[in-house]
Amino acid sequence: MKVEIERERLLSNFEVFEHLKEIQRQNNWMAQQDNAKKPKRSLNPDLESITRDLSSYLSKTPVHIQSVDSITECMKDLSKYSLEKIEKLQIINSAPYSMVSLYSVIEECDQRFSEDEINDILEIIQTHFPIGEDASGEGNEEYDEDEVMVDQQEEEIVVTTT
Amino acid sequence: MFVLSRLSDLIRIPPDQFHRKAKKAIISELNRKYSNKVVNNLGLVIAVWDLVKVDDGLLKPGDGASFIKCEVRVVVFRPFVGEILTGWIEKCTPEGIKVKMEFFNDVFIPKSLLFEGSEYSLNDNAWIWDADGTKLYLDINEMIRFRVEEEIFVNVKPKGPNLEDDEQQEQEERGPSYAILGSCQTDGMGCVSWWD
Repeated sequence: MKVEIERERLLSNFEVFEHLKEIQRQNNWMAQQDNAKKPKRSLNPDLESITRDLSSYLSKTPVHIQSVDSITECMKDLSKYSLEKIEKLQIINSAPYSMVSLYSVIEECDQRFSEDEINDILEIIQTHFPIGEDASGEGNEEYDEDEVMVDQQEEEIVVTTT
Repeated sequence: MFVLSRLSDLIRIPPDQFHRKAKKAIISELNRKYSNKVVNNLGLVIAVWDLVKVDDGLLKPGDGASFIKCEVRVVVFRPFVGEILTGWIEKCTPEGIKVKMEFFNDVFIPKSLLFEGSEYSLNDNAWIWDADGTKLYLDINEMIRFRVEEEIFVNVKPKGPNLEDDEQQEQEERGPSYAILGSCQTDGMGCVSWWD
């Protein structure tokens, strides 16, 4: 084995998550939980365990509220600020909503950007990756269950097909 | 947090894989070799991303398998120094905090890299940060945000066939092949719930 290029590209969490989902789909590792079929003997337990653990870790990060479109739009909006590549990547990965977490991601944030600009960056993140959507969304579903029944069913279909 | 790395390797496809599509057989063979393994000075390989180049297979006398030279891109977990990551506190000891990230559990925050004025409490089995009079607890299973400070690679040699007990212990003491040292010293670090 020879390492040709150590770091060819940077990957966002979202890309890795999508790739893992693809691997799991190809190997039918997801399907095992749904139908009570006997688990297929895994040909590659290492790959199976790492995809399972990593996707469970990543599902606790903001990846589930992201999509290809929302990330590209967010990057377009952020391009007016002179952010480093890795800073943008970390913004996408961690989606900081508070000023203090944005400060930790961007180096010397207070010197490089004014308070208005920082608020604007937070605004951009908030619009593209809306926080707490799943939490509040679940709550709403419970309250207006009858009204949104149809939507909910549609949602479920979408969830199962994806 | 993740990077794509390009590797080149000579891979052996055993004859029982010949019925599969060549590309699929190569990828699954590469996954078997690299997935969930630490490559020294590279990082933890997650899975194959794609195949870049595949040469024609070669046959060797006395072996029915096909040997194929290929270039491949793999997803590697290799956070850069200064990156902010989140994990969960697995264990608190007087030496520091051990953090787990589900798929990667060799993260350690030594006491020298914790907030100034942090103290270990034996009774609570937790680290306590005294921030201007308010006591903030770093309890087990709390979600913690930390900064990557240092990466430690240890080249683990393969085990010999006749391993004595002493040698076995020695191996265990050498620690993981890839470990991350983290720090919690600036604003925004520490328990995620503190800063929300």
